[in-house]
Amino acid sequence: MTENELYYAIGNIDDDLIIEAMEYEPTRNKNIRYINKFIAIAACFIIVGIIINITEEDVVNVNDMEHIINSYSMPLDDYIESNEYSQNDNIVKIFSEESMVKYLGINQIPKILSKGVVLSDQNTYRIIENSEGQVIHDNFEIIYTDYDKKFVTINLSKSGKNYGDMFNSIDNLKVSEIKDVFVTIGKFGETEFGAEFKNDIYYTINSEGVNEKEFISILENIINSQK
Amino acid sequence: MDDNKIIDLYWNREECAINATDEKYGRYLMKIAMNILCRYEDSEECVNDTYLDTWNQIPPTRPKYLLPYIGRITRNKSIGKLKYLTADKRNCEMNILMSELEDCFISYNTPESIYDNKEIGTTISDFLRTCKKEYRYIFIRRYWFSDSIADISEQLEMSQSKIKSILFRIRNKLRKYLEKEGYLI
Repeated sequence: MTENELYYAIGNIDDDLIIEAMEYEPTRNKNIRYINKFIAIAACFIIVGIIINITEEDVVNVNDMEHIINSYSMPLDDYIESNEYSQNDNIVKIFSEESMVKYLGINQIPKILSKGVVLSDQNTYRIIENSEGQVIHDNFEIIYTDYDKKFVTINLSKSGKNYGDMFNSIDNLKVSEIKDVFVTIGKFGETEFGAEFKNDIYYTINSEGVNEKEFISILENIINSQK
Repeated sequence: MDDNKIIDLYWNREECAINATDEKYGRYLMKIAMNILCRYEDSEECVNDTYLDTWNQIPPTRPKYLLPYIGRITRNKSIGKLKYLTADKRNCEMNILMSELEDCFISYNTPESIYDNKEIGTTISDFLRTCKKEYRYIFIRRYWFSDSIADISEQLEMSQSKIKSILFRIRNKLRKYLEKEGYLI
């Protein structure tokens, strides 16, 4: 079966499911959303962290982001949005892993992030150029998973187009230092973590199903892989 | 107007059935077509063809639900039109959407050369009923309505990477489910 045949087949799913999707109302509460944002910002003002780098040991600070998980949507990627809809004006180029690594100027991408969490076989690496051949989107998404509960995505970008989205509504973030690299880390509940850092290129990392210790270990692994 | 009344208008061969359909569902149909084709003129043509097909099919067909019935016609017409328009060029959004599904079925092989889409549609429905309502919504919005990930993330106020991760997991579960049901060998 090709992807086209599957796409057609999905067209034949039962009517009641389509009606349900039509009528589904996501739960939103704008007041709670604003209150939560206010609390988040106020809390960040109160908890002003001072980074002390006395020794060469890593300094790990994990920002608690749980209070904004259901109220904060990250800014949409303008470039993706416009390119997805401008049809044939832009060119989507599919990269191999090798060509992506070469483009980004990094050593390699790790095959394993932690025990059982391996490079997915479903990764597709793309770059988008405009009609003049200029790169307008270079956010490569690399998925790692244990094919069960654990899921880690690493977004790599040379241009840093979307860098900073994850924490941009939070003031006074505490920053960590891992293997001499400054990393901003946040947690959303006990099993979802996010991190951003720049190490020649821009890294944005999201995880689900891994605990804090494992996530920090994954960050170390990623940073080490570029040394 | 109630769907049954609109269907009655078709049934009684009253031309205002088309206006009533357009008034109630025209925007939805345009969105489905635009999500696939991204061009207003082509989408409008598909929606108009949908009305003509509906007019020709009712009667004798009497659908239980009108929107899925006409939405399916628009969807199929739009895919057909897209194939025609993009023999050598591809639509960015559909390119991404199709490649997601391609990932899901990379190892597919079956002894039968002709596949019954309706049968697999029922199997996919059975699978979707086992998923959380919110996950089911995301899957159907993405692969039935062909909504972009950006649109879905805005509707649900979730990040795009969260939507992608949910879709990734549903696709994996779907693959396992179809393997279990004997569709993937």
